Amino acid sequence: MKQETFVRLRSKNWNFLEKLLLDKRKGVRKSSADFPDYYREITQDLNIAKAEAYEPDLVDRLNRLVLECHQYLYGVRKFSVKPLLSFWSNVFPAAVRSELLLVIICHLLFYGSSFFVGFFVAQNPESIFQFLSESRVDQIEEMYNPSAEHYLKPRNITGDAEMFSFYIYNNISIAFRTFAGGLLAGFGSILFLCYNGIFLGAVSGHLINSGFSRPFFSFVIGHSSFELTAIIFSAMAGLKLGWSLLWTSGLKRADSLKKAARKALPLISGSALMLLIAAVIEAFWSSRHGFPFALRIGTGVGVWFFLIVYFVLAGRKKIDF
Amino acid sequence: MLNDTRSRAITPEGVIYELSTAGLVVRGCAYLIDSIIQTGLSFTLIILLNLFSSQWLFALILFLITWFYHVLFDFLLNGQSPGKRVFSLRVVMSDGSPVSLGASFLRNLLRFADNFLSLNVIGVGVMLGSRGFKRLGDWSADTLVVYDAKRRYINKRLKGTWSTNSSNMVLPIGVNYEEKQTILKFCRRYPLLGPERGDEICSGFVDCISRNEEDKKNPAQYLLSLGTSIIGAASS
Repeated sequence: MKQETFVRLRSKNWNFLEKLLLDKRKGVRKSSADFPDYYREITQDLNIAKAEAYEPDLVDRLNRLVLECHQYLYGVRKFSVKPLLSFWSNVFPAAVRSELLLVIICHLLFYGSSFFVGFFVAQNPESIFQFLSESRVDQIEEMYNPSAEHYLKPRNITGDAEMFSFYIYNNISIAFRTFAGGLLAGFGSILFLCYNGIFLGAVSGHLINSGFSRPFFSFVIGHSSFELTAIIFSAMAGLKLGWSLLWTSGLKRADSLKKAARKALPLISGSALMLLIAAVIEAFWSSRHGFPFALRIGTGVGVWFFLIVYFVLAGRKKIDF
Repeated sequence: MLNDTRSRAITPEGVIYELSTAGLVVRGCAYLIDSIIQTGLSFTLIILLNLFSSQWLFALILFLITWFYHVLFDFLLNGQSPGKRVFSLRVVMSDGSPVSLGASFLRNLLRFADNFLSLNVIGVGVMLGSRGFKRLGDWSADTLVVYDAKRRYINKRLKGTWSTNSSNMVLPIGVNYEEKQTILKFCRRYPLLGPERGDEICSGFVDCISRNEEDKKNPAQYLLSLGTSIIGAASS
């Protein structure tokens, strides 16, 4: 068929479709019963135009029409709660368990560095200034000093909310940066992980030396389970991405990265949500120094225990919602 | 086709259509506009923060602006942030389908890797060194940034078909698909070129494909009549 005949026969349909698409989603929805037919016809027209080598402008016009219709037809957006619940009950714990080796490596890196530095600082009290500046040390001591004036004064709810948003901003940004840093051959993640571990260890060691260990540990025990584990998971996700570029196990580098990113996405999302929970606990619970010591330690240990049980047991049998 | 700016997608219907991927400069401009908008929003928030007492809400919104600005617009406007809208760009999955929430989240998290130390060296290097102008976030999430379908390049001066005086010609044997398309593109642009330039451009080609001495003296007219016969317009 010659081009002019083709255009003469079909241009009424094309003009109709272009007019329909001017109304965007509303237009498509109005004609939703016939829209798949229109789409199929336009794909056939594009095929004919390309096979018969018609003018490039005509092929371009049909190409644009196919592109737009494709976007509307395949762009259905439905938001449901079920995937969210299934994420928590099945997807996230299973994703963590499938990377057991990385879990062990990252935990060893983090806790290893923090315990090493903690013991070092506890034995050599002056060495704290090799890790932190003087002003920072003063700041930290002020936070946990029982004789400080802010200590037993309960914060009002606005103060708590301020700390909440600060923790959200600070901690989740750290987690995201740790994750993204992993792409640089994994070095970024390892760097952030060890840096945070060393910082934590140095602070703990110094506070033990200053005798503030009781307020410090009762403060951190509540939220540390969620926060530290989340940071470790984000580093894990970053390492998975970074190392997939180096050890591709037979795939092209692009495909290896794609596959690893698909696996790493539940890890980083779950990590961000865990940090949200940690921020809630830290802002509204952890700083209540007025509560009895045993209660705070007890709840903290309970939360640790719950988290370990969750990651070991949850999602082994798939729950359908 | 070998260019970087065309990417092929196969639909489930078995049709291959082409996506025009956006290049480095236009993506950079769109990103610049987005950064300006983000900075502007942050500054207004900081000013408001000093005026009102409920600072915590503003700090939260600041966090959301920093990390979730692009994700929000990808979800609401189907892959277009305001900066991209200005240049008619759109984020799509690599097969042309609309971008999914997970993919958008992933590619925006990895922005930090792409503009490492705010130098953007890694992002630019990856975009220039690989096919399709994909930065690291695009490679991980399997997305593309393409020119939107709505961007219609209409050259107003080229409206209407060309006209030719000669009758339909029979195509010489051996003119393949690419050459036919080239002839048609030449015919489409002929009104802009003018007779002398047109003759200059196509004389070499016509020398190769035609045996007729007459045609070689008016190569542009020869190609115009070939084009007319290809598309099947009635001879005037």
